[in-house]
Amino acid sequence: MLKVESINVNLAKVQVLRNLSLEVDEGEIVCLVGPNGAGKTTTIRSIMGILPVISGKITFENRDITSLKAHERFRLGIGYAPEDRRLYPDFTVIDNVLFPARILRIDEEEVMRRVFRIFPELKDQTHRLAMTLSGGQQKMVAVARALAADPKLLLLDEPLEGLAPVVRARLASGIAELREEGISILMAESHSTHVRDIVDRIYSIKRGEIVEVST
Amino acid sequence: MIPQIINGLIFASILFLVATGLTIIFGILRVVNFSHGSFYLLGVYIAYSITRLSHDPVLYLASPFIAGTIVGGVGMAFERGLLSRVYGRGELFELLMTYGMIFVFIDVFRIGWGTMPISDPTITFMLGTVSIAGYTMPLYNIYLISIAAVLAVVLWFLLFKTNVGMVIRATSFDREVTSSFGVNVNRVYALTFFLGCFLAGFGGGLMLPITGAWIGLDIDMLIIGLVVVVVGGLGSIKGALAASLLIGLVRSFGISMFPAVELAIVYVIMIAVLIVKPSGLFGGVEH
Repeated sequence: MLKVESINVNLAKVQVLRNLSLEVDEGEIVCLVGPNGAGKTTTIRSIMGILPVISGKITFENRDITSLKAHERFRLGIGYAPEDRRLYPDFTVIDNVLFPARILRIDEEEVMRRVFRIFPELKDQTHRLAMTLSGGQQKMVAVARALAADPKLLLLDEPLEGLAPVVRARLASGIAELREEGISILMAESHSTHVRDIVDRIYSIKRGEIVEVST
Repeated sequence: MIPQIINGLIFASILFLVATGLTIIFGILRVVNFSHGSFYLLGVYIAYSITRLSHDPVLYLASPFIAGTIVGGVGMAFERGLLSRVYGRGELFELLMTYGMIFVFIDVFRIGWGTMPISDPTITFMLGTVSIAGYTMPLYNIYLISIAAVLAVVLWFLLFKTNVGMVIRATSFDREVTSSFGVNVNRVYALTFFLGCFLAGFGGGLMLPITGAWIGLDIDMLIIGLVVVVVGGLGSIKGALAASLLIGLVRSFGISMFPAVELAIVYVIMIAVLIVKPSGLFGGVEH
């Protein structure tokens, strides 16, 4: 489904990713694991089209998307939940979650039904402002927002980072449920211990290079 | 006191339109548009040319809308054709680009409308006068204040009650994330520049019958517009409204009570606000 082939990415003239390659097949959950500064977020942002790649190729469903902009990749079915949630703070939960659906004019009720099925705890929070939510709730809203446009592939940047163990386990099970819905997932995490139970493959990244692939 | 209040509200209405345009552009694009006063003056000149076509009062009343739309189009073309080429290269490039446009516009005004001041108060005579609390004033003054108030409500509705407004506010908060949810941010930028320049051009068109136009008015409006934006808080529409009313009324009362220092009072307010609350009355950016 997603194939990243030897991409090189610079940030402020410093090379951050070096010949990085990875794949995500249909229905898989793949995790990119590495310490802070290893290039996880840069990889996710490059796949989303937020950062340009200098060389290499990214294909999604056999289509070369390397030169497509972020909004065009989104419309092909790639959803994204950024690091640090980055919700719209003075939008309500429902306005945050439905934002992508409103852009694509997708049936809002269907989206909310789907979101509540996976994250029922958001049901009582819909009219709260995003900035008033706890960290765990904000992470759920960020994942729910990425889900709203019915993506085929979800890019989740450190969705479990910094959460209390109970909340982390709950969110991880929500992510695992997404696979049952046929959504492929590429996520980035600092520690593999949080995700071992739910992922199909782990790519270890260090200094912008994939150093190990384990299943 | 009624004349000072009415004059203050007229000035505040125009300041609100100009400052809101400036603050919207800053809020979304993070660009201080130094050519904003030029877009205002272009609006006055275009409205003047429109009113040369016929002495139909409807055309006079419609001229600010037409002028605003044309100015908005020019602003959008400027943003897409020139300004967008320097995005990401640093604020200095954006500053030089918008500052340089002031001089381009001055030449356009000279070539297009000459160097002599222009004015056309015909519509104020056509509409006649109205008496409020024993004070007789041109009905056009009330029209101007009312139309600016209506536009403020329309703007609020557009920004806070429509999908377009939702996208604009989302982009102002996080361009990157918003683009990853299917929004073509370049289009939002173009639309924002259209809207900001429309407001400036519309304000200019409304002021044609009252102040007319001269080369130099562009700089005056830019400076006072920037004062309003700074006092209100960069990027804040609520702040632009509050600061416009404050400065419009203070200046109006200043002219009648302390004519020697009427301009100084405005800057004293700005300095006081900057000392007490450096981010402005409604500091920060609204989304």
